[in-house]
Amino acid sequence: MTRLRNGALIAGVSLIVFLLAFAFIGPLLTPYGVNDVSDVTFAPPTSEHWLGTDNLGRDMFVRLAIATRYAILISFASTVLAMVAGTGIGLIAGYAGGRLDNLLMRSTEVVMAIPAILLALVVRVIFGPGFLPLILAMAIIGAPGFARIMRSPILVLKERDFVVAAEIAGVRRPRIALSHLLPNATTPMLVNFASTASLAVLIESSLSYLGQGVQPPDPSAGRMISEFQRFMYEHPTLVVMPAVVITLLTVAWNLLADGVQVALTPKAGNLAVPTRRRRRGPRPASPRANAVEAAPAEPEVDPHDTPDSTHDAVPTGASSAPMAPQGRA
Amino acid sequence: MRTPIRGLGATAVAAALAVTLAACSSGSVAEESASGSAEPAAGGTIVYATDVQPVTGGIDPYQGTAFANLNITGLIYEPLIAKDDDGTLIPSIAESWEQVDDTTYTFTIRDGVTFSDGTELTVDDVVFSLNTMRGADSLLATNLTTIADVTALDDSTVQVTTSMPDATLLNTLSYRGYAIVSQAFYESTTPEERTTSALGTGPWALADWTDQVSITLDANEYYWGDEGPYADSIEFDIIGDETSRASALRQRSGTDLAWFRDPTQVSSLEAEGFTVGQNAATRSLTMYINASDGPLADVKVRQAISKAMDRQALIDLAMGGEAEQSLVVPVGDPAGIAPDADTPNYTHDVEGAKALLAEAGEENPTITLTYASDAAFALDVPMVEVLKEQLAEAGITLELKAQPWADVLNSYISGTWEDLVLVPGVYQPDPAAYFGTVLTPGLPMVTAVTEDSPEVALYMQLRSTFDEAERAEILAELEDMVAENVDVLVAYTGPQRYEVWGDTVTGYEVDPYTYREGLTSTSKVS
Repeated sequence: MTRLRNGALIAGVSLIVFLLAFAFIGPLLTPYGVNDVSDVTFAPPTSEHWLGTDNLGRDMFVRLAIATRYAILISFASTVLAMVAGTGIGLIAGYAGGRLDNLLMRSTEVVMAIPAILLALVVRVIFGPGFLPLILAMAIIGAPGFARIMRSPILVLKERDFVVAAEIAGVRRPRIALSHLLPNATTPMLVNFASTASLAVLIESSLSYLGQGVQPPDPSAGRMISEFQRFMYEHPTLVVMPAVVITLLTVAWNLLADGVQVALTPKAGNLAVPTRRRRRGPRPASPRANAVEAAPAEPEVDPHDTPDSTHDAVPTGASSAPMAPQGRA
Repeated sequence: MRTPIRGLGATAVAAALAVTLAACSSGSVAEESASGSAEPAAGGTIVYATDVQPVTGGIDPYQGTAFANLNITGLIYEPLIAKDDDGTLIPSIAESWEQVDDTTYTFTIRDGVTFSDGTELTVDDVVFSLNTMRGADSLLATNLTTIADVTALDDSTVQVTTSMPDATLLNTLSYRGYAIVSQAFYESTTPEERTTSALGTGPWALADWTDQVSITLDANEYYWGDEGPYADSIEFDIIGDETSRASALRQRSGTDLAWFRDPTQVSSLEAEGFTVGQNAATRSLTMYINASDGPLADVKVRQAISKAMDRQALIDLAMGGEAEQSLVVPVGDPAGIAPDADTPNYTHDVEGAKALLAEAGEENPTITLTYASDAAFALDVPMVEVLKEQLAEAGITLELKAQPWADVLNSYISGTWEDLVLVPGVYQPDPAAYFGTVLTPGLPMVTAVTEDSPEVALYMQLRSTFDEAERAEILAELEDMVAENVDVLVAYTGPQRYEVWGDTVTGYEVDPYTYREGLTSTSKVS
């Protein structure tokens, strides 16, 4: 029921599916190779060249599709890397506490203090051009966000009874971290995943625009804009089309982030994402609509298990048994 | 980087050469005014939007020798002699000169030449300048190694002797970088001070340089020339982005002239009513070859690459047709020869390329091409992309390796690049100079030839031959030989810059080698 009303999620997923189809199936539909040059330069859209051709007579449909493919792959891969690294850092920092926490979190702040593009350029200069340095650079940029978002709920969770109980029972700390703490803090990670991926799309385009991202002859929407800028007066569509691709991809990831947030917020186990329900007004069907206020009144919630409501990381009431977060409807 | 005359000593000069360079008649170099009848209006500031400011070496003429540096120093300083638009030597600071024999030259210094601070130029300044520019600390020295002695014969005559016949000397001395400086100024300043200060005899004098923003030159009130400068000053606004420079012109908010690299930008400005002055095609897209190892060590593979290139298609696609096919000496150079159907390996022939690769036992070689990824070189990238597609047709895989320009240049100078490196060329004062970094064995970037290669011997002959007609024949033979052995690959040659101006200035005339001499005769329209 919730999902049906989640317009952001539907729109986000549809857009992503559409772009994936364009990126991976699109090139198969035309006979042109991505780098095939021809005499037919600056052709308008025709039945042969669906989106026309560029200054070297290359088919824009295929090039945009491949550019979209690179953008999706690069943003996805770099964000996965960022998530793995950031989550690890946040988990260790939050659970270990003390000096290690300080060291790790201050280190991430150092990275965050450097402007993202600048950092990416530095990584690019050190490791040279290519896809891997690009992915690595954006993973470094994205990781601190994941680390911070992970650490907050861990700080709360580690004081909770079920964690304390596990510790008393002698469960090893890595095991507690992975099987008790991590699963209870996944929702904000998923939300952050989509928004980091959208940021990665933008950074990749910016770097490519500056000539430091995807290298010729591989197509990239960012580089297309910088290359075709000089033809803007005569052939404005050449600049508009890659801009539309970047916009669609960014919007798709952002909608997905919103959608995931809305979809997962009312569900169990979510500790760190502020609910949107409040803004939409209370729903009579759900007693948890005003989560923080409602929480103590809910009979099934063990008051001892309710996190300290003054803690910054816990705006919602944890309204379910934390050991079985995914199982509740 | 520059062309040393290595190995020239080993080359015997074949015949006694007629002394053909008779003393030029003295006379004014003042150009005819473009407008003719109307007297140009005096005063005002001409604003010229340019792309880069002088790089390393600044405006010290003996330290800053890059194109960007010469664009400013060329307006402040003057060489001993100069060249007109046809490439003929004309007087400058020397009002006449004479080649006494194969190795002796005398220059008569013009009376009344004054530095911009009012002090008179003397024969000692000229001797000091020639000795300093060939001195150990000067970047120009590599082109002046044949000079044996410079002496003042009297108050207005300087004698230069060379250790061997060198037909390039007068051409070299006519290049705008080979500036005559004030001895007093040069000796009273530190090298560091000279990168940002100057004292020359040219029509303009440095007034202000705001780093990365603008350079302002004031008219030299003591300038000896008959005409100009008419404007009080020129302000060079440094605007890196082509589109921004075009906008500055379009807005008509003070920018009078600008120059561009991009023909597309220029043609749209032309359509809007701006005047476009075209420079000679002297910017060759030259790919230097590392033949020390890898597939390019085999001449057949090099020939296959040259045959697999469709140079006209490169020009049409990558430059919209705004370039020309060229041999080593750019077609825009007065000595340049255009390739024709008989030029070895220049005709597009994929099957021939495949056959050569098969003979070489390298049917599918992978070749790396290093090129500059900087935004300033963005116009060259389409060429590289099309080239990759063309070579693929012959089974050659071209790996594109983008690097910052500074790295590209370093690997070129040290000879450490892999297979091919794209280093765009600039105008050189003597046709032999274009071959220096291709045919001088011993230089790090020269790997395709040895001391025994026939083209090296011919190159040395070109350097020591004075007779113009004979020189032209040697040059034609040398170009064919280099094209046959593919010691270097030239994709095409386009103009160095396009100059564009509106109706706010009058009297500007383009000189083909982008010296911007026309600024002297330019005046503001009020």
